[in-house]
Amino acid sequence: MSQILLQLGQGFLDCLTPINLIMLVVGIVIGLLIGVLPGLTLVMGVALALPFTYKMDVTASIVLLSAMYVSGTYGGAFTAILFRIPGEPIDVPMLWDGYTMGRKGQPAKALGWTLVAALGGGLLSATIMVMLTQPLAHFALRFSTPEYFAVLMFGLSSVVALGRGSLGNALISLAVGLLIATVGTDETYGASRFTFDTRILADGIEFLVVMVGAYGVGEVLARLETGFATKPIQKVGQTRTELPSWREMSALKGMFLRSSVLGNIIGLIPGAGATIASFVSYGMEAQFGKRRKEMGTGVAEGIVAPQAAATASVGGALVPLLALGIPGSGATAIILGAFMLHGIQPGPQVMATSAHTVYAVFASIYLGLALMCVIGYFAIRPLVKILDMPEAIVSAYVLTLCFIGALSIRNNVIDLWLMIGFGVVGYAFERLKFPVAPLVLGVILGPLAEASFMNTMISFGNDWTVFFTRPIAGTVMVFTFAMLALPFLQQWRARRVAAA
Amino acid sequence: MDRTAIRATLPYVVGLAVAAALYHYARQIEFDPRPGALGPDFWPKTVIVLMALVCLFEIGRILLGLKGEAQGVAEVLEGEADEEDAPKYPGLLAGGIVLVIVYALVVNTVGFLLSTFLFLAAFMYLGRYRNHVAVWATSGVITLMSAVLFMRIAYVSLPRGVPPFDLVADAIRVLLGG
Amino acid sequence: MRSTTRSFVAIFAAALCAVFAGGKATAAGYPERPIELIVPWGPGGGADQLARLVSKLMEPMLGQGIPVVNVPGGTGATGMAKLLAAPADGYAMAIYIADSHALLAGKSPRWTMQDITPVAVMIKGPSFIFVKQDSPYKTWADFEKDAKANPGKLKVATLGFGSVDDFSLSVLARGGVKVVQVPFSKPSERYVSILGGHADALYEQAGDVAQFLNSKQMRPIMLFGEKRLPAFKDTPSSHELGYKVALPQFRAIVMRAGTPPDVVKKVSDALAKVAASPEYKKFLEEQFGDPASFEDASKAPAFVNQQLEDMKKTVATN
Repeated sequence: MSQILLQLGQGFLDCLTPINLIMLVVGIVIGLLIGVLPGLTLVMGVALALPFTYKMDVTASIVLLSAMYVSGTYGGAFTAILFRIPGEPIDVPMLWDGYTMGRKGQPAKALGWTLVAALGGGLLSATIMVMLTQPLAHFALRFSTPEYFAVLMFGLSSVVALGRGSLGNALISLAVGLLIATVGTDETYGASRFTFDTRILADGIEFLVVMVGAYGVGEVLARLETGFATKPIQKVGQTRTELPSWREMSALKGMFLRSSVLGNIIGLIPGAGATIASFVSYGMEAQFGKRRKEMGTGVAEGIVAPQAAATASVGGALVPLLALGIPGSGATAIILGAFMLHGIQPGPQVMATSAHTVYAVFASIYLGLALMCVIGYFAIRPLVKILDMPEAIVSAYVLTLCFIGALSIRNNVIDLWLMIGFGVVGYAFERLKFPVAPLVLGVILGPLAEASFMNTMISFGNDWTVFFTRPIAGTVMVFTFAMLALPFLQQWRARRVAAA
Repeated sequence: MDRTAIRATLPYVVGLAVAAALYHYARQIEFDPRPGALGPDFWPKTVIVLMALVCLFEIGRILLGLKGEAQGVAEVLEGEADEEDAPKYPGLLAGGIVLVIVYALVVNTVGFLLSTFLFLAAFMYLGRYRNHVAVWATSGVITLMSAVLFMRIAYVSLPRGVPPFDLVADAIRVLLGG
Repeated sequence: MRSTTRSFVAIFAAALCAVFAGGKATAAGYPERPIELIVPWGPGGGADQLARLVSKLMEPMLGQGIPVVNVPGGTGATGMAKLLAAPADGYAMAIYIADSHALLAGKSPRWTMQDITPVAVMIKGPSFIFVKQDSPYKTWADFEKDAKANPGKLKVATLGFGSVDDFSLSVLARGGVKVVQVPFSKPSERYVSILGGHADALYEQAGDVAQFLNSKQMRPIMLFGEKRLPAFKDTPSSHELGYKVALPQFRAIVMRAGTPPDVVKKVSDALAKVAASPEYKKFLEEQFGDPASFEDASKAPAFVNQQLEDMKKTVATN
């Protein structure tokens, strides 16, 4: 233990060189920007930054990329809370309580909560990561395809159970999302599905197009229809509070811990770490939290749970990367690439051969979180001011960012067409009271869910009971069914109350 | 059977029709079957069946006039709280959709920078913003900022446009300090 | 500090040159603007690493930026579509690997050899069957014996059905080694399946699992090729074990067919210099690639064509 602390101290010293500090600040600012821009995903941003690291030394480049990774999980909360447009898939749960709290006149407070959540979740997870790197890495290896599938089902069922509107509509929305995800060349057989012999569809539909279309374009169109007469957020009396008070925070310390640990564990699992972490953590809070009955009405728990878990998942995702050399997510795959370009191969031996670099990376996560919050704190006021600008300008700019996002995915104007199409779909869903979140999550998680399902079936000779008999998968599946049963339980309880 | 109930079933009838059509196409997926393994059609078919079942359930529920549809958690807690009374301008909506479609039509020909500049200005006017100086100035600034960010700092391959429009892109790049 | 400033200056300079883009593709002035290097795979993988190293080393040689553009999807088909949509003027090239090439051996491929011009083959290396370090299978003979005693029980993690991996395993199956092929399109899941003991063996190139070999977490029990490799003296080759299959992984750089030959030559010459650089040689060694991997524009097409013939032969005898 003292050994670890000593090395971590050395890591902090290594981080404090001017070049590393500059990279830290640059990484955080770019990460925040990427989070804010709806068209740019975290993975794309980190990939765009990689060429800049060619000529840096290894510590500086990893510090830059991991700072971007950490702050990228935070920036999207701004647009979700202020404009109802999630910058990243992880910010979708932020629309339920974060945006609602903002609409009740406390946008600055909602942003303050996300800041505290990102800081708390990040720091807790970083500490877990530093202290338990090896045991966590071995825990990660116990997950195989049945476990991935169980976790993905849990993520999908949470979004069905949690959204507004009827459960039936949510299920249909999810099914549409899952079907959109199957378009294109399938992963297992390479068969063309629902492509109707077009080259465009043969390449599949990117989730970004769907998310940016349904939320970004759909939202702007819906507001244009009102002639920009209603502000997205009515500021009922200027509240001056930004950060939550110490008393408010310490009332939530139990759930801080819960969300962070959950985020950390989900981050360990390869796949869509931060996104599932965010949804699942919100779901857990809605089911087991102290104020579960008020979730969705703009309570702090609904902001803290997804944000803390999303930022905490970064620490989790870095563990298999550093300790085993296995990248669990798109962003960590690029960080692995940066390591390799500089001649370092992460893996069990890296702790012995390049401990210096590893602990500098650990230390940079701590410093990055602290700096991120300072920058975030000063960004809140000017950003809330954007709401005072004419909405026509802000909306036009948001649309441009959506266009850039669509054009940059595959450098193909077809994606722009698809995005516009999904903008109209998103608008139609909203009007018909079908929730959009299940559709978007279905598109994101659908391919992962299908691949892990198909793999399990092939691997275990079509024996579906493995999803329930393997200890980890079985436990998660029980939670999944509990999650789906929740709306019915609530209805039953409500009816009993009404009868009494 | 009153008409509102039939209208309420409409989305689900559409959903059912879509499911039926997709199932038809799912049956035509070509692949080399492998003994003992599920094909690539299994997953889509399962999802389609799920979708069809939910649609049928909802249609039945509405037509039989059963109450008690299960709601999502957030709905039960919050209930309806929307500003449905706000005035709507379908003309603006249609205009917005047309603008976006025109943008997608011309962006490859005219190039990203010029078409974005024009789109921004047009959209602001459509959004009933009439401060001419502000409209053109912000459009210009935003376009230039995008140019700096995505052509100079981080390379994103955006449409250059075909001659003679690509001259605009080059001119702007020279203007930016070339 | 200084090195970073310099890198930023270099990038800005490259962007500056982009200002004077346009003009015709004549070899005399080529390249006049940045050349896009398309990677038909996501960032972080083996193809991506090769592209980024090549871009880094070749930029100063050609005096132009070589931005790497990741266009993943459809086993490389999406990225190839982008390459084929660009004009044949030498301002777009793509990484082309054996797994994409294998699509040409399947039904109705989306491009043919007539559509592309191989500029250079950058890396060649055999594929292996790996097991976990503490696996009960000490040698290939142990594995073979168990597989024959329990047909369809042992699990081998591969890239996917219809891939090079699949072709090679089908040859083993004809020899009586019937295993369950578990397809993982994501490398990370493929490696977890071995390290976590969820699969019995792994089909992979040595370079992609170098970190696990160096840290003694995995070991090879067979390589697919005619001869043993010096780096793995104790690992038998498939030919000496009686399985006539040798489909090496290769990663090449291709342009569109119809690109002016002098442009192709210029890039090929620059790539030859890249291949001769110490940094590239170190990369090749870490990737356990064949030291004589590099083939220039005059020899690369023949090599790539030969690979296709070999794949077709393997599939045909199926």
